[in-house]
Amino acid sequence: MADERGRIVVSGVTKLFGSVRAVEDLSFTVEPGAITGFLGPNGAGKTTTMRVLLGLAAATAGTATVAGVAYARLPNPGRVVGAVLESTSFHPARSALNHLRVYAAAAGIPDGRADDVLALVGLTAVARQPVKGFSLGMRQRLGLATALLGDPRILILDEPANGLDPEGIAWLRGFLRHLARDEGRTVLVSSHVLSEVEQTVDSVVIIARGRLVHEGTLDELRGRGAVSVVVTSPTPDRLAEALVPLGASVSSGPEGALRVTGATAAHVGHAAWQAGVELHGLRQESSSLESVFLELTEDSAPPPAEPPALTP
Amino acid sequence: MNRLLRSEFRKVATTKLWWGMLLGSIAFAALGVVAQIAANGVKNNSAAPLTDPATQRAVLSSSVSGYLFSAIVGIIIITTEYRHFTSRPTFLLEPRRARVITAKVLVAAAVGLLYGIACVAVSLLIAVPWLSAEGVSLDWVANGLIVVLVGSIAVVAIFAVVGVGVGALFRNQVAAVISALAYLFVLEPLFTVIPVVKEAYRFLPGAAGSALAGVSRPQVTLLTNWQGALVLLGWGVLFAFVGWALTVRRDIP
Repeated sequence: MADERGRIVVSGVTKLFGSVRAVEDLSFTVEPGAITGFLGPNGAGKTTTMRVLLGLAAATAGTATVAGVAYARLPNPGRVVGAVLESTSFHPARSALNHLRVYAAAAGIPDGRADDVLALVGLTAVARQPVKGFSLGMRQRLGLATALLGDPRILILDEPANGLDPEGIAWLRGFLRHLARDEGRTVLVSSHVLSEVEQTVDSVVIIARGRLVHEGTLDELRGRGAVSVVVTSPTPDRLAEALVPLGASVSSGPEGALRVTGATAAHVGHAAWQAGVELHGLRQESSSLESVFLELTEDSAPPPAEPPALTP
Repeated sequence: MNRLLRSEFRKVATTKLWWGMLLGSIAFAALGVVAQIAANGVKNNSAAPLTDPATQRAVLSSSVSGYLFSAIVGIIIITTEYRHFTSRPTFLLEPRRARVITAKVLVAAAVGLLYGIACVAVSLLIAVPWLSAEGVSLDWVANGLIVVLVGSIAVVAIFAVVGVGVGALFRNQVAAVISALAYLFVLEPLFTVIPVVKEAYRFLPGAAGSALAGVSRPQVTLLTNWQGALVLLGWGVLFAFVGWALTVRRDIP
């Protein structure tokens, strides 16, 4: 299958750190030609999932494949997958250009490509400066440049917008869109803030406490939100009485209005008309994407701990 | 493997660590030579005169002090990856982790070889003119001076490999360096004074290195040069294997 080359498949992955379940029976698929957001609160298991996917951590159960095979079995992975995990993977004393040359050598990529990717992310001016003087935004760009060294079909980026200013986020958005939509690459970006990637991604995989809570397009995510009707009337008490037969729940809304959930605007309008109640306003509202995201990810159970950090 | 060797070589060459450590090892070697020649013949110095081959061997074996620095470089070559999380791009580009460790071992051995040669060169540069000024003639082959020089180089190189294994074991840079120093300066010498384990002392890495470099230790019987060479090589292979096995098995942070 042609698509196989750009597809990421996570299938039933569980990862335990001691007795802590960081990821539990997680399955999802990422297709090429689009940007997929990998969302969840901090500690939901995003980085752990990516580490399993990239062969850095062994899954306790389940499998993850990139381009049809386990990452560790890719013959020259740098040419297939470009990945950045939490953009802090630099030796502080090494210059940006030398950093890229170190990894270009490992992947068998000509040194000239290091200059190319630096230009691509706009870091040519600081190529010979040590990374320790770089801002978080510059480190993000250098991480991206490292991922792009091998001109990979698949990009896996962990929190790439973290630390970028609004201008940087707009640049990243345009850059990733170009890579995914114009060039047909697979782009998976993680974030703990939906609004950060809302305008960038085509579809989302949302996890919470190590489990999948949603996989699909942003519209499908919106559709999971509760619809409510905000209705205003000079006689709210009579209106509330008239709405009882609908079986919907009625609460007080903004500025003396009533908020009705579990019924459409048409139902509410009809019930008011039948009871002869005067209406001054009637509108249907769906909850914002952000609130749907929060509802899905903010359930009662406490989030699992992150894997024990290695303290250098 | 060529790609990995090149990558690992660049990692070493693009930071200042290697030459800082090189200067340190040269300084230690030079200090040892100068101290031994200058102090020779001074009242209360028990060393035999400079014309004695044993003294000549002791002077030249100062070159071996580079082993401390090469061991630390070996440790840092691997622990710096975990410290700065460069382990991620490293193992992403080569998921066959054993090959990465092999490349690191080879590059560490090359750096160690360089340190060993530099230490020997500095020792010779100081000792040869000085001793000839003192009227001492050196018989390189008959008195085993060549063996001391070659042995010193080997010790410094092998300890770099041991360092890689120690680094892979601890992963934490500070813990690895402190443990290695504590072992070499405190734990291993303790063996010489504890009756039960005293016999095992000469098979330990530091003692085997001393034997290979022709360093004599008071009140202790060391292995011969060749036995020391084999035993130290064994330790090098063991530590390289430990680094290899642990890195393959454990998750990369």
